[in-house]
Order: sequence, then C-alpha cells, then structure tokens
Amino acid sequence: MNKPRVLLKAIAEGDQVAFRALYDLYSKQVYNTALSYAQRPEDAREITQDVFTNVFRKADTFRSEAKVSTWIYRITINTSLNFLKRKNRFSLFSMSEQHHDQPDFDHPGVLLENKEAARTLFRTINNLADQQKTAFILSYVDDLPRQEVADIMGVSLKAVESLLQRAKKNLRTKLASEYPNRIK
Amino acid sequence: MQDEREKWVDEVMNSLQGMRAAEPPADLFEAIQTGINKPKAKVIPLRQLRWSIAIAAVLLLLNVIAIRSYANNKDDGFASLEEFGGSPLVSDYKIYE
Repeated sequence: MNKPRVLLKAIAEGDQVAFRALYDLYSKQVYNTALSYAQRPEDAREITQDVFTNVFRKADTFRSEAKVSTWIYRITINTSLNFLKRKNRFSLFSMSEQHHDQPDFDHPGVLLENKEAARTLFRTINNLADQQKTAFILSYVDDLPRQEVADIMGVSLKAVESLLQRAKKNLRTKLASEYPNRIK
Repeated sequence: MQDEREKWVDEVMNSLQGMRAAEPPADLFEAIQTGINKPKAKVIPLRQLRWSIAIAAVLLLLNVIAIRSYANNKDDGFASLEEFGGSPLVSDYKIYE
C-alpha cells in the first residue's frame, strides 16, 4: 500500500498524526527546493510553512492518479515563485535599496572548496526566467530524474531538455560576462 | 584568457557537485501546526459584499430623499397658509365671537 497516499487520505479527515508523518517524509525536500528559489533560510522557512499549510488544507483535493511527491513539489514551486513575485513587487514600491543589497547566498550543504563558486552560481540562477529556473533547480540542485521533472512541471521530456539547454546557455553567457569582475 | 574564462565558468557550473541537503529548522513543524489550529478568519465573498454595499447605498439615498422631501413639505405647508392669509388652525378655542 502506498504510504504517502494513505497518509494524505487520513490528513483529509483532519488526522494530525498522519500530517506529522507526511511532514517527516517530505519536509527536507520542500525546504531545500524553497531554499534554492528564495536563497535565504528565513524565506525558505516561510515558504515551507505555507506549503505544508496548503497540503493540510487541500489534502482532500489530491487526485489519486498523480504521485504525492509530484503534487507536493508543484505546491512548493508555485508557493516559491509567488513568494518571489510578492517580494519583488514589494521591493519595487519600497523606498529602500534593500533588494539590491541582498547578500550572496551561502548554501549550507555546499562543499567548502566550492563555496565561492556556488555563491556566484546561485546569484546567476536568480536571474533565469521562471521555467528555466525551475527546470534547472529540480534537475541540478534537487537532482531529480528528467522524467520526474517533466511530470512535476506538466511538460514533455523534450520540453524539459530544451529548458535545461537554454538555462545552461544563459548561465554560461552571464558567467562569462562576469569573469573579469570575479573575486580571485 | 579565453581558456581561463571557460575553465572558471565550468568551475562555477559544477560547484554544486557533492552538495548535501540542508536541514529544515527543528521548530518548523510546531509553527505549522500552530498556524493550522488557529481559527480561520471569516471571509465574506466579494459578491455578497458588493450586494450589501449596493443595498445600503440605495437605502441611504431613499432616506435622504425622504428627509429632504419632508423638510421641503414642512416649510411649504406653513408658507402657503400664511401666503393665503390663513390663520393658525388652533388659537384660543373661541370659535364663536
């Protein structure tokens, strides 16, 4: 019997023990995906909170033909992208220069010898278009198989490959232009 | 220079290799549970709100019209009587002199 489905069914009836069990299964995945989008632990925390609140409240809307992980990933991506849009809108209207001064993101899991380069990469990922960003994060940061990425994004495998190709090309072009200003 | 640039770009593109997943904050579930168990604020559907405002506006308008009409009729009533030399309806109850 599929454990996540059983848990989700129980959560739809308000079972909070089942909710805790589902949280234990998926919280790391949700938090890390959120972290890749938001690039700030406090923002990733807020996104994760929103995701699981939605999971609890909308458990009864889950379509049983889909995978639970796919469903949760979709909620995570939509919540993350909406969070970023709200944040960017707010910073547009605010008088402060805060949005320009956001420090580079230091992912806690990156190997020590790669920290500097990873900071540069995350900063550059931030500038990708939403679809390319999503495809890149799911494939290269979350390390998901391509087919799973396609299922989550609701596109074909070919579309994912195309998005990844464009994402990598754009990243390389941007990085190449930054080369003279890199920290040595 | 070109080779060095490409080498650097490769280095950056591969910098996430060997990366471990971050751990979510230990108290996060508690915060989620607190949020879920908080009573939801009552949400009034927008359609219902619009109808309520429209009805209130109509009632207000009707009241304003009624009050103005009353005020105008009250003035006209006294003025028309005096204009025609009418005396007040009640004086000292001496009907017959």
